[in-house]
Amino acid sequence: MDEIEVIRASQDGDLDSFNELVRLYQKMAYNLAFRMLGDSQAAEDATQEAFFSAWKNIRRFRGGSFKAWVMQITANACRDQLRRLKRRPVVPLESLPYDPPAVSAESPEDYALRQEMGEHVQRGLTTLSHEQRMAVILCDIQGLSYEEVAEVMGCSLGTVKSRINRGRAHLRDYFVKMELISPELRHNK
Amino acid sequence: MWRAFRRSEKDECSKARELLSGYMDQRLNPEEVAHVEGHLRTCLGCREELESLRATVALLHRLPEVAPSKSFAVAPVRPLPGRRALTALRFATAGAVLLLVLAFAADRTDLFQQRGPSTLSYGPAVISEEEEAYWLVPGEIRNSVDPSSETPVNLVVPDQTDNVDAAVNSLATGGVVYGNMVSIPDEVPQLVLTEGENGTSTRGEAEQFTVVSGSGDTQNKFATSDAAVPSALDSIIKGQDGLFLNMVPVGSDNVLYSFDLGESQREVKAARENDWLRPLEYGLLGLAMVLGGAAVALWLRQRRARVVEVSKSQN
Repeated sequence: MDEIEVIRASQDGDLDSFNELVRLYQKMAYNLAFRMLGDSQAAEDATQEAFFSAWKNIRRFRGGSFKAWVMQITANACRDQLRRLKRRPVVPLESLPYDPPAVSAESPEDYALRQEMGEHVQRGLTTLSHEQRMAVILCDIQGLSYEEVAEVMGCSLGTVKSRINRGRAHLRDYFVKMELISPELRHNK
Repeated sequence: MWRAFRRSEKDECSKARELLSGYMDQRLNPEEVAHVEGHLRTCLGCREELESLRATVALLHRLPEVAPSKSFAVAPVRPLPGRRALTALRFATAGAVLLLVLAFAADRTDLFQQRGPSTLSYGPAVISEEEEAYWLVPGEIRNSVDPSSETPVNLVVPDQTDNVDAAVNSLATGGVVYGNMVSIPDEVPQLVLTEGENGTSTRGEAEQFTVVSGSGDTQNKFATSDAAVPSALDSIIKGQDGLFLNMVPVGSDNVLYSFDLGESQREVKAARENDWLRPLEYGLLGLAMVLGGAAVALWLRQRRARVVEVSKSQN
């Protein structure tokens, strides 16, 4: 069964078919939520909320990219979570879980280094505005095209370009400050 | 001049830097590409800027993918228990509250209170050409009687001593009191004022008024004395907590007396006339509380069930 058929079956109320779609996109949705929120519990809540909402509104999906549709719902769930977190902030950055790859060929030192780097990058992401952060995550971490980013974020291509440009520049400044980028580039700030 | 040159160079750089991200992602049109590349050839700072942005993106690309610790598959949701019952309870509660509000409003506005001489003052009745006597109340006519028909007119005697005194004194001094006051059948308490022992008119001789109690033909004397009339009336009135009398006008040249009602008297009268409204209000209040309580209890139960459902589906 191809994706279109699975979507159609879901729209007819077949929950098993919908859960097939969930399995297909949950990692992507969770990663967006995790990078946006910086907290695994909040990310799980947002992702679950997003898939509940997707199931409830599956009949409203009128074709196009299902991935972009799911990511759009996830982006909205993240915005809701951010509003909630703003009211009662809980951001335990120190305990960010970085799951080791199932089969890891890297040494423990490399893994520790990568984990530390990951924490820094995550911190850097949290210094961006919500919309810049989302644009950078979708484009540079999740590999979406500018057009897909615009669809997910519900804005124009020009806005996406500007958000990505400013988000990267801001992150670059942070990375230079944190010495994550080689020192010869530091004077470039 | 050197400063102007520096400024234009700076402008060039900031313009090029705006385009660097798009240049990296190959999102520029050929003109923009030519412009950026031309500038990069001459500007070391912007070349380094481009490199730093590339390094930033490379760092983001290296970020590991995070695996969620659970599946986000959606579990089938069973219909919650008592959904219809909750809807019915909600409507029933709303209905009870609405009726309660209506009953309360009716009570407050005396909607069901009978129209009658609830506020009376004493003064001469007006005899119209049709020989109808009207109670005169300041500002409005409250009731009318046909003297020939002997239709009883309800009259409430106040329980305030001043008013009673005034009323009785006016009977005495006015010297123009006519007719009998007979009791209203089925009304309790009953009080009858008659003129004289035999109930005949004794115009101008108010001292001979007799205060009796009873109804219909069997009129029991209550008090019969010249000076005792006011005090007798007073004592009866005080003892009875508001009295309802009839006044039957006699003759075509009636001058009828009425009495001012005190605030408390009006309330007694209203309470008696609306005596079915208060129990209804209390009944509706109780009903609304019971229904509302049941609705809240059911809602809480459903909420708990929903939370359990969600947590099950998440695990």
